[in-house]
Amino acid sequence: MISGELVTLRARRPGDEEHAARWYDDPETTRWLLNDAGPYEIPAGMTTFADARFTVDDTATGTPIGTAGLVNASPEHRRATAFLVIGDAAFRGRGYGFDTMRTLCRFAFDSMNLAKVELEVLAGNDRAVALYERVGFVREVHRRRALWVEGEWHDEYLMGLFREELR
Amino acid sequence: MRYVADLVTLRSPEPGDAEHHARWFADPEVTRTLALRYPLSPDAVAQRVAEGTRPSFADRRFTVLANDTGAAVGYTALKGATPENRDAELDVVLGERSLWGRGYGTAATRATCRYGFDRVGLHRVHLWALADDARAVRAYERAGFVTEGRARDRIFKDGRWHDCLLMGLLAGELR
Amino acid sequence: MYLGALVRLRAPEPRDADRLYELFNDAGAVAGLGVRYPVSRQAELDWVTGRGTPSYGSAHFAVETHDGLLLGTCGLFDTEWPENRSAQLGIALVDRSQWDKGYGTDTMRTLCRFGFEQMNLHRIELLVFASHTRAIRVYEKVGFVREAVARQKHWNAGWHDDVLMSLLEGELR
Repeated sequence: MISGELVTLRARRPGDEEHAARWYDDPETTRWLLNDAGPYEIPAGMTTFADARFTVDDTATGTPIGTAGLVNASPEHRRATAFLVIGDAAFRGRGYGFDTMRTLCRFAFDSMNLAKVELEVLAGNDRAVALYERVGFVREVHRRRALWVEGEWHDEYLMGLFREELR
Repeated sequence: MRYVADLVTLRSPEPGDAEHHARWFADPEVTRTLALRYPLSPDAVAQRVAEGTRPSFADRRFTVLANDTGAAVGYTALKGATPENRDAELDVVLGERSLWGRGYGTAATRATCRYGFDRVGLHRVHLWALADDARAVRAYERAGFVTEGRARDRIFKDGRWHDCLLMGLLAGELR
Repeated sequence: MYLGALVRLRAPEPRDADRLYELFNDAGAVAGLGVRYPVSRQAELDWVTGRGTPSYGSAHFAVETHDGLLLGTCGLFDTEWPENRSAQLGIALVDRSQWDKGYGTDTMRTLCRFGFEQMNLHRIELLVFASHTRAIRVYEKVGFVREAVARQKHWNAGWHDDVLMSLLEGELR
């Protein structure tokens, strides 16, 4: 269990799919996803360096509110790609996303020994970009017309965070 | 299998132990000195416990019971022995934090090593301890373990490098 | 291909199997390595075939001179916890006619440079028989530090000690 101030990141377990189905039924969630939300995968066995995907619980109530994790971790380059979805609308805009991302990045540096965390975000997703900047992420790349979604082109930002930049 | 010793009894792991293990692994004070970094799902815990129910020369695990209450207080393991070198790596985890400081760790260490020498026919048992885990190192020394050296920066955890002590115990040295 | 001053490291090839079979069955050459049982031609073929794609998880190499003479093998492995940035090192230069020419030292330097520069390791460690003083001298020459003596760690007509040595990033000479 990885504890933040408001949230707990824990291993995914059977039963989480039902919550995920609800999150991904909400167009406010899916409109900002960079990939189609496939079935909510429950990895078999241990969470590892290569596959660290968690379910995020509200610590106070134990309610699953979303998912976050680190994927594509490279041992040589010591970086990974972070993702974050606060799927339960009732927990948006209240600091849960911020606490989740900060807790995840602290884990990336302190436990996984990574040197850098990266993430991708759709250019119009201002709320998310502001959240990531509050955590310390820096906008590094603006990829123009990176994605074709629902009949139009979207730009995408690549953001990055070094250990010493985490706030 | 039940192996009765002073203060503790070793028995074979059973699927029902997964419940205790999940509770122990959720305690950051317990996992602080373990190689464990990632949260475990209930399935992953059950899988680990199930692996321990099929003992072999190279992989023997035990559930440690307190003799006075019969409750499970931790687990131990002897892993990696080859028949030629007969040297196993020892794991000792005292998961019930409320029982720390009462001699169960030393007793579990003694019982597991005694079993390894007497029943398995090991010649040597070794373990790696975090260099600043003084409590554990003292317990191992009480059982007769000798610090054989210090490996620099062997583990990265909690944001920093940790040295590890290699400790060894030969058949005949167990106290 | 990874180039040293005297040797180069490359991925093992099936054509290496026959020569490795000859070299690894030279009892005098493998005495310091703990090779206990005779190795078959097929076992050597299986070994090289399984290691044709070195990766972070298992980086084994054939060691050859710049002229292409196969000297043996070396590798970095046991990296299943990338968080620790630590690997075990193994080296087996088993052509006795090529000993004492500096190939061992150069192979160690080249392999460790590979570990730090390409794999971004923090620590490289090895276990060596305490009686294998020739090898220990080479390891110390390139910067390895003795950290522990594991008493009576292996059996070979009696119990023998092993020495644990390690090299941290920045210490390679």
